[in-house]
Amino acid sequence: MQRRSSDAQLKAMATQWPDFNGKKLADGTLIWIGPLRPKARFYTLSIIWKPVVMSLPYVMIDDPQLEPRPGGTFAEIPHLIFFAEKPEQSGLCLFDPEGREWTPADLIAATTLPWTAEWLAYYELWHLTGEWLAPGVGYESVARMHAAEARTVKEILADVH
Amino acid sequence: MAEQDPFRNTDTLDEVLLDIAALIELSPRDRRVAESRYRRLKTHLERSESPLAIYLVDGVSRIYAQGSIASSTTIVSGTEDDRFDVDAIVEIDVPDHWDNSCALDLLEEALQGFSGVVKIVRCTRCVQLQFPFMHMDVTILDRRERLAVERAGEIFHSPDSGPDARVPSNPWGFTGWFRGQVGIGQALFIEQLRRHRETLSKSRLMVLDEEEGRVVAKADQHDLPPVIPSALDAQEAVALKLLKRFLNLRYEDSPLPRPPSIYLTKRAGDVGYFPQGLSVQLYALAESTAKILRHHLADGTRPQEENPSYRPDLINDRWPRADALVRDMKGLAEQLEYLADRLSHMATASLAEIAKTIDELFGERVGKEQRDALAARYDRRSSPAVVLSEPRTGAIFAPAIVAAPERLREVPRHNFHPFIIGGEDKE
Repeated sequence: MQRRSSDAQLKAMATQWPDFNGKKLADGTLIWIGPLRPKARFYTLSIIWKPVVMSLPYVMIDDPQLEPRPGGTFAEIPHLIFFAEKPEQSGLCLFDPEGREWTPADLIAATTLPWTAEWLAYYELWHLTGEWLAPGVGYESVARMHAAEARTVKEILADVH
Repeated sequence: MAEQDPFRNTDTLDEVLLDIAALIELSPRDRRVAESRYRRLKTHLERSESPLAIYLVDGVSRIYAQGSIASSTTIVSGTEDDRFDVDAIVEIDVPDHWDNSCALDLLEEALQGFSGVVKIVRCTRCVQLQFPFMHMDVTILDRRERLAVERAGEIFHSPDSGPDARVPSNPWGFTGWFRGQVGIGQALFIEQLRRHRETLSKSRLMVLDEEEGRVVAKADQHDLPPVIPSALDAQEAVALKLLKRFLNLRYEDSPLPRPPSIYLTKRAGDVGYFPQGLSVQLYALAESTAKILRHHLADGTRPQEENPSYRPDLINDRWPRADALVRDMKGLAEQLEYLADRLSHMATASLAEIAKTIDELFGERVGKEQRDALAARYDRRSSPAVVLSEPRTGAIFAPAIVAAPERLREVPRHNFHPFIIGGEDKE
Protein backbone atom coordinates (compact mmCIF):
# COMPACT_ATOMS: atom_id res chain seq x y z
CA MET A 1 0.00 0.00 0.00
CA GLN A 2 1.44 3.33 -1.02
CA ARG A 3 0.31 5.93 1.53
CA ARG A 4 -0.69 9.24 -0.09
CA SER A 5 1.51 12.15 0.91
CA SER A 6 0.05 15.21 2.61
CA ASP A 7 0.88 17.26 -0.47
CA ALA A 8 -0.98 14.81 -2.70
CA GLN A 9 -4.06 15.01 -0.48
CA LEU A 10 -3.94 18.81 -0.37
CA LYS A 11 -3.44 19.06 -4.13
CA ALA A 12 -6.29 16.68 -4.96
CA MET A 13 -8.64 18.53 -2.64
CA ALA A 14 -7.71 21.91 -4.14
CA THR A 15 -8.31 20.57 -7.64
CA GLN A 16 -11.52 18.65 -7.08
CA TRP A 17 -13.11 20.71 -4.31
CA PRO A 18 -11.92 24.27 -4.91
CA ASP A 19 -14.43 25.78 -2.46
CA PHE A 20 -12.64 24.07 0.44
CA ASN A 21 -9.83 25.83 2.26
CA GLY A 22 -7.11 23.37 3.15
CA LYS A 23 -4.04 23.79 5.30
CA LYS A 24 -1.30 21.77 6.95
CA LEU A 25 -0.59 22.54 10.60
CA ALA A 26 2.89 22.48 12.13
CA ASP A 27 2.27 19.04 13.65
CA GLY A 28 1.39 17.62 10.21
CA THR A 29 -2.40 17.62 10.71
CA LEU A 30 -4.34 18.43 7.56
CA ILE A 31 -7.55 20.46 7.91
CA TRP A 32 -10.06 21.45 5.28
CA ILE A 33 -13.15 23.59 5.82
CA GLY A 34 -15.70 24.10 3.10
CA PRO A 35 -19.25 23.85 1.79
CA LEU A 36 -21.33 21.07 0.29
CA ARG A 37 -24.89 21.03 -0.93
CA PRO A 38 -25.67 17.35 -1.33
CA LYS A 39 -29.46 17.58 -1.38
CA ALA A 40 -31.66 20.42 -0.20
CA ARG A 41 -29.54 22.27 2.40
CA PHE A 42 -26.16 23.95 2.36
CA TYR A 43 -23.63 22.61 4.90
CA THR A 44 -20.26 23.74 6.08
CA LEU A 45 -17.98 20.97 7.29
CA SER A 46 -14.48 20.29 8.54
CA ILE A 47 -12.24 17.39 7.64
CA ILE A 48 -9.30 16.56 9.89
CA TRP A 49 -6.61 14.07 8.92
CA LYS A 50 -3.36 13.42 10.73
CA PRO A 51 -1.44 10.87 8.71
CA VAL A 52 -0.02 7.90 10.63
CA VAL A 53 -1.70 8.95 13.89
CA MET A 54 -5.34 8.74 12.73
CA SER A 55 -6.82 5.64 11.15
CA LEU A 56 -9.45 7.57 9.21
CA PRO A 57 -10.27 11.18 8.27
CA TYR A 58 -12.60 12.78 10.81
CA VAL A 59 -15.51 14.69 9.22
CA MET A 60 -17.56 17.08 11.34
CA ILE A 61 -20.59 19.10 10.28
CA ASP A 62 -20.10 22.68 11.48
CA ASP A 63 -23.21 24.39 10.15
CA PRO A 64 -26.03 23.65 10.51
CA GLN A 65 -25.19 21.38 13.44
CA LEU A 66 -26.39 17.81 13.29
CA GLU A 67 -29.65 17.26 15.09
CA PRO A 68 -31.78 14.26 15.99
CA ARG A 69 -35.27 13.77 14.63
CA PRO A 70 -37.94 15.63 16.64
CA GLY A 71 -38.24 13.97 20.04
CA GLY A 72 -35.21 11.75 19.40
CA THR A 73 -31.63 11.66 20.66
CA PHE A 74 -28.23 12.23 19.06
CA ALA A 75 -27.41 8.58 19.58
CA GLU A 76 -30.21 7.71 17.17
CA ILE A 77 -28.55 9.56 14.28
CA PRO A 78 -27.32 6.77 12.02
CA HIS A 79 -23.70 6.08 11.19
CA LEU A 80 -21.88 8.48 13.49
CA ILE A 81 -18.48 8.28 15.09
CA PHE A 82 -20.36 9.05 18.26
CA PHE A 83 -18.78 11.51 20.68
CA ALA A 84 -20.93 11.05 23.79
CA GLU A 85 -19.53 14.08 25.66
CA LYS A 86 -20.17 16.48 22.79
CA PRO A 87 -22.56 14.68 20.46
CA GLU A 88 -22.88 17.65 18.12
CA GLN A 89 -19.17 17.22 17.39
CA SER A 90 -19.61 13.60 16.43
CA GLY A 91 -17.92 12.60 13.20
CA LEU A 92 -19.47 10.83 10.26
CA CYS A 93 -18.74 7.13 9.98
CA LEU A 94 -18.40 6.86 6.26
CA PHE A 95 -17.08 3.35 5.66
CA ASP A 96 -16.60 -0.05 7.21
CA PRO A 97 -13.07 -0.13 8.76
CA GLU A 98 -13.07 -3.92 8.88
CA GLY A 99 -13.95 -4.07 5.20
CA ARG A 100 -10.91 -1.91 4.47
CA GLU A 101 -13.05 0.34 2.28
CA TRP A 102 -10.64 3.19 2.93
CA THR A 103 -6.89 3.22 3.48
CA PRO A 104 -4.35 6.06 3.56
CA ALA A 105 -3.57 5.09 -0.02
CA ASP A 106 -6.89 6.62 -1.04
CA LEU A 107 -7.41 10.25 -1.85
CA ILE A 108 -9.72 12.04 0.58
CA ALA A 109 -10.96 14.12 -2.35
CA ALA A 110 -12.06 11.02 -4.25
CA THR A 111 -13.57 9.07 -1.35
CA THR A 112 -14.25 10.96 1.88
CA LEU A 113 -15.83 13.96 0.15
CA PRO A 114 -18.29 12.08 -2.09
CA TRP A 115 -19.12 9.79 0.86
CA THR A 116 -19.75 12.85 3.05
CA ALA A 117 -22.06 14.29 0.41
CA GLU A 118 -23.86 10.96 0.23
CA TRP A 119 -24.08 10.76 4.05
CA LEU A 120 -25.63 14.23 4.22
CA ALA A 121 -28.14 13.45 1.47
CA TYR A 122 -29.23 10.30 3.34
CA TYR A 123 -29.24 12.19 6.64
CA GLU A 124 -31.85 14.54 5.14
CA LEU A 125 -33.78 11.54 3.81
CA TRP A 126 -33.56 10.00 7.30
CA HIS A 127 -35.04 13.17 8.79
CA LEU A 128 -37.81 12.95 6.18
CA THR A 129 -38.65 9.25 6.42
CA GLY A 130 -37.17 7.96 9.70
CA GLU A 131 -35.23 5.33 7.77
CA TRP A 132 -31.61 5.18 6.67
CA LEU A 133 -31.97 4.26 3.01
CA ALA A 134 -28.30 3.81 2.08
CA PRO A 135 -26.23 0.63 2.41
CA GLY A 136 -24.63 0.06 5.78
CA VAL A 137 -23.09 -2.69 7.88
CA GLY A 138 -23.56 -3.39 11.55
CA TYR A 139 -25.98 -1.50 13.74
CA GLU A 140 -27.47 1.57 12.14
CA SER A 141 -26.84 3.82 15.13
CA VAL A 142 -25.24 3.85 18.55
CA ALA A 143 -28.71 3.88 20.11
CA ARG A 144 -29.60 0.67 18.28
CA MET A 145 -26.29 -0.88 19.31
CA HIS A 146 -27.05 -0.10 22.96
CA ALA A 147 -30.62 -1.35 22.59
CA ALA A 148 -29.30 -4.64 21.21
CA GLU A 149 -26.85 -4.91 24.11
CA ALA A 150 -29.67 -4.28 26.60
CA ARG A 151 -31.78 -6.99 24.96
CA THR A 152 -28.90 -9.44 25.18
CA VAL A 153 -28.31 -8.68 28.86
CA LYS A 154 -32.03 -9.11 29.59
CA GLU A 155 -32.06 -12.45 27.82
CA ILE A 156 -29.01 -13.63 29.73
CA LEU A 157 -30.50 -12.48 33.05
CA ALA A 158 -33.76 -14.22 32.22
CA ASP A 159 -31.88 -17.44 31.54
CA VAL A 160 -29.84 -17.15 34.73
CA HIS A 161 -32.94 -16.68 36.88
CA MET B 1 -22.98 29.64 -0.16
CA ALA B 2 -26.07 29.96 2.01
CA GLU B 3 -26.29 33.73 2.00
CA GLN B 4 -26.64 34.00 -1.74
CA ASP B 5 -29.65 33.93 -4.07
CA PRO B 6 -31.88 31.10 -2.80
CA PHE B 7 -32.65 30.14 -6.37
CA ARG B 8 -29.00 29.84 -7.40
CA ASN B 9 -29.35 26.07 -7.59
CA THR B 10 -32.75 24.43 -7.25
CA ASP B 11 -31.99 20.86 -8.32
CA THR B 12 -33.65 19.33 -5.25
CA LEU B 13 -36.74 21.52 -5.26
CA ASP B 14 -37.04 20.98 -9.03
CA GLU B 15 -36.87 17.23 -8.42
CA VAL B 16 -39.73 17.47 -5.92
CA LEU B 17 -41.83 19.78 -8.13
CA LEU B 18 -41.36 17.51 -11.16
CA ASP B 19 -42.68 14.64 -9.03
CA ILE B 20 -45.72 16.71 -8.08
CA ALA B 21 -46.35 17.69 -11.70
CA ALA B 22 -46.20 14.04 -12.81
CA LEU B 23 -48.67 13.11 -10.05
CA ILE B 24 -51.34 15.70 -10.85
CA GLU B 25 -51.42 15.56 -14.65
CA LEU B 26 -53.27 13.39 -17.14
CA SER B 27 -51.33 10.22 -17.83
CA PRO B 28 -50.74 9.23 -21.46
CA ARG B 29 -53.47 6.60 -21.04
CA ASP B 30 -55.87 9.18 -19.57
CA ARG B 31 -55.22 11.32 -22.64
CA ARG B 32 -56.23 8.40 -24.83
CA VAL B 33 -59.44 7.97 -22.84
CA ALA B 34 -60.16 11.69 -23.21
CA GLU B 35 -59.41 11.46 -26.93
CA SER B 36 -61.96 8.66 -27.20
CA ARG B 37 -64.59 10.84 -25.48
CA TYR B 38 -64.02 13.68 -27.95
CA ARG B 39 -64.52 11.24 -30.82
CA ARG B 40 -67.72 9.97 -29.21
CA LEU B 41 -68.91 13.53 -28.80
CA LYS B 42 -68.54 14.10 -32.54
CA THR B 43 -70.30 10.84 -33.38
CA HIS B 44 -73.10 11.59 -30.92
CA LEU B 45 -73.73 15.13 -32.12
CA GLU B 46 -73.60 14.08 -35.77
CA ARG B 47 -76.02 11.14 -35.39
CA SER B 48 -79.15 11.52 -37.48
CA GLU B 49 -81.46 12.16 -34.49
CA SER B 50 -79.28 15.00 -33.16
CA PRO B 51 -80.87 18.43 -33.59
CA LEU B 52 -77.39 19.79 -34.36
CA ALA B 53 -76.57 17.15 -36.99
CA ILE B 54 -77.61 19.27 -39.97
CA TYR B 55 -75.14 21.96 -38.87
CA LEU B 56 -72.24 19.52 -38.56
CA VAL B 57 -72.18 17.61 -41.83
CA ASP B 58 -69.89 19.48 -44.19
CA GLY B 59 -67.04 17.06 -43.66
CA VAL B 60 -64.79 19.45 -41.75
CA SER B 61 -64.25 18.49 -38.14
CA ARG B 62 -65.66 21.32 -36.11
CA ILE B 63 -65.69 19.59 -32.79
CA TYR B 64 -62.38 19.93 -31.02
CA ALA B 65 -60.61 20.14 -27.71
CA GLN B 66 -60.02 23.53 -26.17
CA GLY B 67 -58.83 24.91 -22.85
CA SER B 68 -56.38 23.09 -20.63
CA ILE B 69 -56.38 19.83 -22.55
CA ALA B 70 -55.41 21.66 -25.73
CA SER B 71 -52.67 23.59 -23.94
CA SER B 72 -51.54 20.36 -22.25
CA THR B 73 -52.12 21.75 -18.75
CA THR B 74 -54.99 19.61 -17.46
CA ILE B 75 -54.64 18.59 -13.80
CA VAL B 76 -56.72 16.75 -11.22
CA SER B 77 -59.39 19.01 -9.83
CA GLY B 78 -59.41 18.77 -6.02
CA THR B 79 -57.72 17.70 -2.82
CA GLU B 80 -59.24 14.24 -2.59
CA ASP B 81 -60.99 14.22 -5.92
CA ASP B 82 -59.25 12.56 -8.87
CA ARG B 83 -61.35 14.30 -11.47
CA PHE B 84 -60.26 15.99 -14.67
CA ASP B 85 -62.21 18.87 -16.24
CA VAL B 86 -61.87 19.19 -20.02
CA ASP B 87 -63.50 21.40 -22.62
CA ALA B 88 -64.87 20.91 -26.12
CA ILE B 89 -65.97 23.38 -28.75
CA VAL B 90 -68.72 22.67 -31.26
CA GLU B 91 -68.42 25.12 -34.11
CA ILE B 92 -71.48 25.72 -36.25
CA ASP B 93 -73.03 28.36 -38.51
CA VAL B 94 -75.76 29.55 -36.20
CA PRO B 95 -78.91 30.48 -38.12
CA ASP B 96 -80.00 34.10 -37.82
CA HIS B 97 -83.32 33.20 -36.26
CA TRP B 98 -81.78 31.52 -33.16
CA ASP B 99 -81.96 33.59 -30.03
CA ASN B 100 -79.07 33.50 -27.56
CA SER B 101 -80.42 30.65 -25.43
CA CYS B 102 -81.43 28.49 -28.39
CA ALA B 103 -77.90 27.23 -29.07
CA LEU B 104 -77.44 25.91 -25.52
CA ASP B 105 -81.00 24.50 -25.51
CA LEU B 106 -80.33 22.50 -28.67
CA LEU B 107 -76.90 21.42 -27.47
CA GLU B 108 -78.39 20.15 -24.22
CA GLU B 109 -81.02 18.25 -26.20
CA ALA B 110 -78.46 16.84 -28.61
CA LEU B 111 -76.28 15.55 -25.78
CA GLN B 112 -79.06 13.49 -24.17
CA GLY B 113 -78.39 9.76 -24.26
CA PHE B 114 -74.60 10.18 -24.40
CA SER B 115 -73.21 6.77 -23.51
CA GLY B 116 -71.54 6.52 -20.10
CA VAL B 117 -72.61 9.94 -18.88
CA VAL B 118 -73.73 10.08 -15.26
CA LYS B 119 -75.33 13.51 -15.46
CA ILE B 120 -75.80 16.38 -17.93
CA VAL B 121 -75.72 19.89 -16.43
CA ARG B 122 -76.64 23.11 -18.19
CA CYS B 123 -74.19 25.90 -17.30
CA THR B 124 -74.08 29.59 -18.16
CA ARG B 125 -71.93 29.17 -21.28
CA CYS B 126 -71.75 25.43 -21.85
CA VAL B 127 -73.39 22.09 -21.22
CA GLN B 128 -71.42 19.81 -18.95
CA LEU B 129 -71.16 16.05 -19.45
CA GLN B 130 -70.31 14.39 -16.17
CA PHE B 131 -68.49 11.07 -16.50
CA PRO B 132 -66.91 9.20 -13.59
CA PHE B 133 -63.63 11.08 -12.85
CA MET B 134 -64.11 13.48 -15.76
CA HIS B 135 -66.29 16.46 -16.63
CA MET B 136 -66.45 17.72 -20.21
CA ASP B 137 -67.76 21.23 -20.79
CA VAL B 138 -69.20 21.47 -24.31
CA THR B 139 -69.57 24.98 -25.73
CA ILE B 140 -71.20 26.06 -29.00
CA LEU B 141 -69.29 28.63 -31.01
CA ASP B 142 -71.03 30.56 -33.77
CA ARG B 143 -68.34 30.61 -36.45
CA ARG B 144 -69.50 33.82 -38.10
CA GLU B 145 -66.12 35.59 -37.75
CA ARG B 146 -64.18 32.74 -39.36
CA LEU B 147 -63.55 34.59 -42.60
CA ALA B 148 -61.75 37.39 -40.74
CA VAL B 149 -59.89 35.22 -38.21
CA GLU B 150 -59.52 31.46 -38.33
CA ARG B 151 -62.00 29.76 -36.00
CA ALA B 152 -63.07 33.02 -34.35
CA GLY B 153 -66.71 33.51 -33.44
CA GLU B 154 -69.12 34.01 -30.60
CA ILE B 155 -70.16 31.81 -27.72
CA PHE B 156 -73.46 32.09 -25.93
CA HIS B 157 -73.89 33.44 -22.44
CA SER B 158 -77.23 32.41 -20.99
CA PRO B 159 -77.39 33.02 -17.21
CA ASP B 160 -80.28 31.99 -14.94
CA SER B 161 -80.98 35.65 -14.27
CA GLY B 162 -80.10 38.64 -16.41
CA PRO B 163 -80.05 39.00 -20.16
CA ASP B 164 -78.62 36.45 -22.60
CA ALA B 165 -75.64 37.63 -24.63
CA ARG B 166 -73.06 36.63 -27.20
CA VAL B 167 -69.39 36.80 -26.30
CA PRO B 168 -66.55 37.09 -28.88
CA SER B 169 -64.29 34.08 -28.58
CA ASN B 170 -61.47 32.25 -30.32
CA PRO B 171 -60.26 29.42 -28.10
CA TRP B 172 -58.58 27.68 -31.05
CA GLY B 173 -56.51 30.79 -31.71
CA PHE B 174 -55.66 31.19 -28.02
CA THR B 175 -54.42 27.63 -27.81
CA GLY B 176 -52.28 28.20 -30.89
CA TRP B 177 -50.88 31.39 -29.37
CA PHE B 178 -49.97 29.65 -26.09
CA ARG B 179 -48.40 26.67 -27.80
CA GLY B 180 -46.42 29.01 -30.05
CA GLN B 181 -45.27 31.09 -27.07
CA VAL B 182 -43.91 28.22 -25.03
CA GLY B 183 -42.83 25.90 -27.84
CA ILE B 184 -42.42 22.17 -27.43
CA GLY B 185 -40.04 22.55 -24.49
CA GLN B 186 -36.32 22.16 -23.91
CA ALA B 187 -34.97 18.68 -24.68
CA LEU B 188 -33.29 18.30 -21.28
CA PHE B 189 -36.42 19.33 -19.40
CA ILE B 190 -38.59 16.98 -21.46
CA GLU B 191 -36.23 14.12 -20.66
CA GLN B 192 -36.27 14.98 -16.94
CA LEU B 193 -40.06 15.03 -16.92
CA ARG B 194 -40.22 11.74 -18.81
CA ARG B 195 -38.03 10.12 -16.17
CA HIS B 196 -40.25 11.37 -13.33
CA ARG B 197 -43.37 10.19 -15.17
CA GLU B 198 -41.93 6.69 -15.53
CA THR B 199 -42.49 6.01 -11.86
CA LEU B 200 -45.16 8.53 -10.90
CA SER B 201 -47.61 8.81 -13.77
CA LYS B 202 -51.07 7.70 -12.59
CA SER B 203 -53.91 6.59 -14.84
CA ARG B 204 -57.21 7.50 -13.25
CA LEU B 205 -59.88 7.41 -15.95
CA MET B 206 -61.87 4.23 -16.33
CA VAL B 207 -63.05 3.21 -19.78
CA LEU B 208 -66.80 3.53 -20.17
CA ASP B 209 -67.39 0.27 -22.01
CA GLU B 210 -65.73 -2.40 -24.14
CA GLU B 211 -65.74 -0.19 -27.22
CA GLU B 212 -63.85 2.58 -25.44
CA GLY B 213 -61.48 -0.02 -24.01
CA ARG B 214 -60.69 -1.20 -27.55
CA VAL B 215 -60.22 2.37 -28.79
CA VAL B 216 -57.88 3.22 -25.90
CA ALA B 217 -55.90 0.02 -26.39
CA LYS B 218 -55.58 0.61 -30.13
CA ALA B 219 -54.76 4.31 -29.86
CA ASP B 220 -51.08 3.72 -30.48
CA GLN B 221 -51.85 2.50 -33.97
CA HIS B 222 -52.52 6.07 -35.17
CA ASP B 223 -55.28 5.00 -37.50
CA LEU B 224 -57.20 8.22 -36.80
CA PRO B 225 -55.94 11.79 -36.74
CA PRO B 226 -55.66 13.11 -33.16
CA VAL B 227 -58.49 15.22 -31.74
CA ILE B 228 -56.42 16.58 -28.85
CA PRO B 229 -53.29 18.54 -29.76
CA SER B 230 -50.10 16.68 -28.89
CA ALA B 231 -48.80 16.75 -25.31
CA LEU B 232 -46.65 19.76 -24.58
CA ASP B 233 -43.86 19.49 -22.03
CA ALA B 234 -42.57 23.03 -21.99
CA GLN B 235 -41.41 24.13 -18.56
CA GLU B 236 -43.86 27.07 -18.70
CA ALA B 237 -46.77 24.62 -19.14
CA VAL B 238 -45.58 22.47 -16.23
CA ALA B 239 -45.22 25.54 -13.98
CA LEU B 240 -48.78 26.49 -14.94
CA LYS B 241 -50.04 23.05 -13.86
CA LEU B 242 -48.42 23.55 -10.45
CA LEU B 243 -49.84 27.05 -10.10
CA LYS B 244 -53.31 25.79 -10.99
CA ARG B 245 -53.05 22.98 -8.43
CA PHE B 246 -51.96 25.45 -5.74
CA LEU B 247 -54.82 27.84 -6.52
CA ASN B 248 -57.39 25.04 -6.74
CA LEU B 249 -56.60 24.15 -3.14
CA ARG B 250 -56.35 27.73 -1.90
CA TYR B 251 -59.73 28.67 -3.38
CA GLU B 252 -61.47 25.45 -2.38
CA ASP B 253 -62.99 27.00 0.74
CA SER B 254 -62.64 30.63 -0.24
CA PRO B 255 -65.66 32.89 -0.69
CA LEU B 256 -63.80 34.50 -3.62
CA PRO B 257 -64.12 33.08 -7.13
CA ARG B 258 -61.06 31.33 -8.53
CA PRO B 259 -59.38 33.30 -11.32
CA PRO B 260 -60.11 31.73 -14.72
CA SER B 261 -57.56 29.23 -15.98
CA ILE B 262 -57.31 31.08 -19.27
CA TYR B 263 -56.06 34.22 -17.47
CA LEU B 264 -53.34 32.18 -15.77
CA THR B 265 -52.53 30.50 -19.09
CA LYS B 266 -52.10 33.92 -20.70
CA ARG B 267 -49.75 34.94 -17.90
CA ALA B 268 -47.79 31.69 -18.27
CA GLY B 269 -47.40 32.39 -21.98
CA ASP B 270 -46.34 36.00 -21.36
CA VAL B 271 -43.83 35.37 -18.58
CA GLY B 272 -41.23 33.65 -20.79
CA TYR B 273 -38.82 30.79 -20.21
CA PHE B 274 -36.47 30.74 -17.20
CA PRO B 275 -33.46 28.52 -17.81
CA GLN B 276 -32.70 28.21 -14.07
CA GLY B 277 -35.36 25.51 -13.77
CA LEU B 278 -38.93 24.70 -12.79
CA SER B 279 -38.81 26.29 -9.33
CA VAL B 280 -37.69 29.62 -10.76
CA GLN B 281 -40.26 29.32 -13.58
CA LEU B 282 -43.07 28.88 -11.05
CA TYR B 283 -41.68 31.62 -8.81
CA ALA B 284 -41.49 34.04 -11.74
CA LEU B 285 -45.05 33.25 -12.83
CA ALA B 286 -46.45 33.80 -9.32
CA GLU B 287 -44.33 36.82 -8.45
CA SER B 288 -44.80 38.70 -11.74
CA THR B 289 -48.56 38.11 -11.76
CA ALA B 290 -48.84 39.34 -8.16
CA LYS B 291 -46.93 42.49 -9.13
CA ILE B 292 -49.28 43.15 -12.03
CA LEU B 293 -52.26 42.83 -9.71
CA ARG B 294 -50.62 45.11 -7.12
CA HIS B 295 -50.10 47.74 -9.83
CA HIS B 296 -53.75 47.52 -10.79
CA LEU B 297 -54.76 47.85 -7.15
CA ALA B 298 -52.54 50.90 -6.74
CA ASP B 299 -53.80 52.51 -9.95
CA GLY B 300 -57.47 51.65 -9.48
CA THR B 301 -57.48 49.65 -12.73
CA ARG B 302 -58.06 45.99 -13.60
CA PRO B 303 -56.38 43.41 -15.84
CA GLN B 304 -58.07 43.22 -19.21
CA GLU B 305 -56.29 40.49 -21.10
CA GLU B 306 -57.11 40.14 -24.75
CA ASN B 307 -56.82 36.92 -26.69
CA PRO B 308 -53.73 37.66 -28.80
CA SER B 309 -55.26 35.78 -31.72
CA TYR B 310 -58.54 37.71 -31.61
CA ARG B 311 -58.61 41.04 -29.78
CA PRO B 312 -62.39 41.24 -29.22
CA ASP B 313 -62.08 38.09 -27.09
CA LEU B 314 -61.51 39.47 -23.57
CA ILE B 315 -60.36 36.35 -21.84
CA ASN B 316 -60.94 37.44 -18.24
CA ASP B 317 -64.24 39.22 -18.89
CA ARG B 318 -65.82 37.69 -15.76
CA TRP B 319 -62.86 38.08 -13.39
CA PRO B 320 -62.24 40.15 -11.34
CA ARG B 321 -65.93 40.73 -10.72
CA ALA B 322 -67.08 44.29 -11.44
CA ASP B 323 -68.57 44.63 -7.97
CA ALA B 324 -65.62 43.07 -6.15
CA LEU B 325 -62.58 44.24 -8.12
CA VAL B 326 -60.37 45.01 -5.16
CA ARG B 327 -61.30 41.89 -3.17
CA ASP B 328 -60.75 39.57 -6.13
CA MET B 329 -57.42 41.09 -7.19
CA LYS B 330 -56.12 41.46 -3.63
CA GLY B 331 -57.14 37.89 -2.87
CA LEU B 332 -55.20 36.50 -5.82
CA ALA B 333 -52.20 38.77 -5.26
CA GLU B 334 -51.95 37.54 -1.67
CA GLN B 335 -52.10 33.90 -2.71
CA LEU B 336 -49.43 34.37 -5.37
CA GLU B 337 -47.17 36.28 -2.98
CA TYR B 338 -47.56 33.48 -0.48
CA LEU B 339 -46.60 30.90 -3.10
CA ALA B 340 -43.55 32.95 -4.12
CA ASP B 341 -42.51 33.30 -0.47
CA ARG B 342 -42.87 29.54 0.17
CA LEU B 343 -40.86 28.73 -2.97
CA SER B 344 -38.06 31.01 -1.73
CA HIS B 345 -38.18 29.26 1.61
CA MET B 346 -38.13 25.77 0.10
CA ALA B 347 -35.24 26.63 -2.22
CA THR B 348 -32.78 26.27 0.69
CA ALA B 349 -34.81 24.31 3.26
CA SER B 350 -34.20 20.68 4.27
CA LEU B 351 -36.09 17.83 2.62
CA ALA B 352 -38.25 17.47 5.73
CA GLU B 353 -39.13 21.15 5.69
CA ILE B 354 -39.82 21.05 1.95
CA ALA B 355 -42.18 18.11 2.53
CA LYS B 356 -44.21 20.06 5.11
CA THR B 357 -44.54 22.99 2.75
CA ILE B 358 -45.42 20.78 -0.22
CA ASP B 359 -48.27 19.27 1.81
CA GLU B 360 -49.55 22.73 2.51
CA LEU B 361 -49.23 24.03 -1.06
CA PHE B 362 -50.28 21.02 -3.11
CA GLY B 363 -52.22 18.77 -0.70
CA GLU B 364 -51.23 16.09 1.78
CA ARG B 365 -52.23 13.16 -0.40
CA VAL B 366 -50.07 14.32 -3.30
CA GLY B 367 -47.31 15.25 -0.84
CA LYS B 368 -47.27 11.77 0.65
CA GLU B 369 -47.17 10.13 -2.76
CA GLN B 370 -44.24 12.37 -3.68
CA ARG B 371 -42.34 11.49 -0.48
CA ASP B 372 -42.91 7.80 -1.02
CA ALA B 373 -41.59 8.09 -4.56
CA LEU B 374 -38.55 10.08 -3.42
CA ALA B 375 -37.74 7.53 -0.71
CA ALA B 376 -38.14 4.62 -3.14
CA ARG B 377 -35.86 6.35 -5.66
CA TYR B 378 -33.00 6.62 -3.14
CA ASP B 379 -33.61 3.39 -1.23
CA ARG B 380 -30.51 1.27 -1.84
CA ARG B 381 -30.72 -0.99 1.21
CA SER B 382 -31.46 -4.12 -0.73
CA SER B 383 -30.03 -3.34 -4.14
CA PRO B 384 -26.57 -2.67 -5.48
CA ALA B 385 -27.69 0.64 -7.04
CA VAL B 386 -25.26 3.54 -7.14
CA VAL B 387 -25.79 7.25 -6.64
CA LEU B 388 -24.23 10.03 -8.66
CA SER B 389 -22.49 13.10 -7.29
CA GLU B 390 -21.85 16.48 -8.82
CA PRO B 391 -18.28 17.77 -8.68
CA ARG B 392 -17.71 20.81 -6.47
CA THR B 393 -21.17 20.96 -4.81
CA GLY B 394 -21.43 17.25 -3.93
CA ALA B 395 -25.07 17.22 -5.08
CA ILE B 396 -26.40 13.65 -4.92
CA PHE B 397 -28.76 12.22 -7.54
CA ALA B 398 -30.48 8.88 -8.10
CA PRO B 399 -29.54 7.78 -11.64
CA ALA B 400 -33.23 7.15 -12.47
CA ILE B 401 -33.98 10.87 -12.73
CA VAL B 402 -30.73 12.16 -14.22
CA ALA B 403 -31.20 13.42 -17.76
CA ALA B 404 -27.56 14.50 -18.26
CA PRO B 405 -25.32 12.04 -16.36
CA GLU B 406 -22.12 13.14 -18.14
CA ARG B 407 -21.55 15.97 -15.64
CA LEU B 408 -21.80 13.62 -12.66
CA ARG B 409 -19.55 10.98 -11.07
CA GLU B 410 -20.46 7.69 -9.48
CA VAL B 411 -19.91 7.72 -5.71
CA PRO B 412 -17.39 4.96 -4.90
CA ARG B 413 -19.02 1.93 -3.33
CA HIS B 414 -18.78 1.62 0.45
CA ASN B 415 -20.88 0.90 3.55
CA PHE B 416 -21.79 3.34 6.28
CA HIS B 417 -21.01 2.15 9.80
CA PRO B 418 -21.50 3.38 13.41
CA PHE B 419 -18.66 3.79 15.88
CA ILE B 420 -18.23 5.14 19.42
CA ILE B 421 -15.33 7.32 20.43
CA GLY B 422 -13.72 5.78 23.47
CA GLY B 423 -15.68 2.55 23.04
CA GLU B 424 -15.39 -0.64 21.12
CA ASP B 425 -16.96 -1.11 17.76
CA LYS B 426 -19.50 -3.77 18.55
CA GLU B 427 -20.33 -5.22 15.18
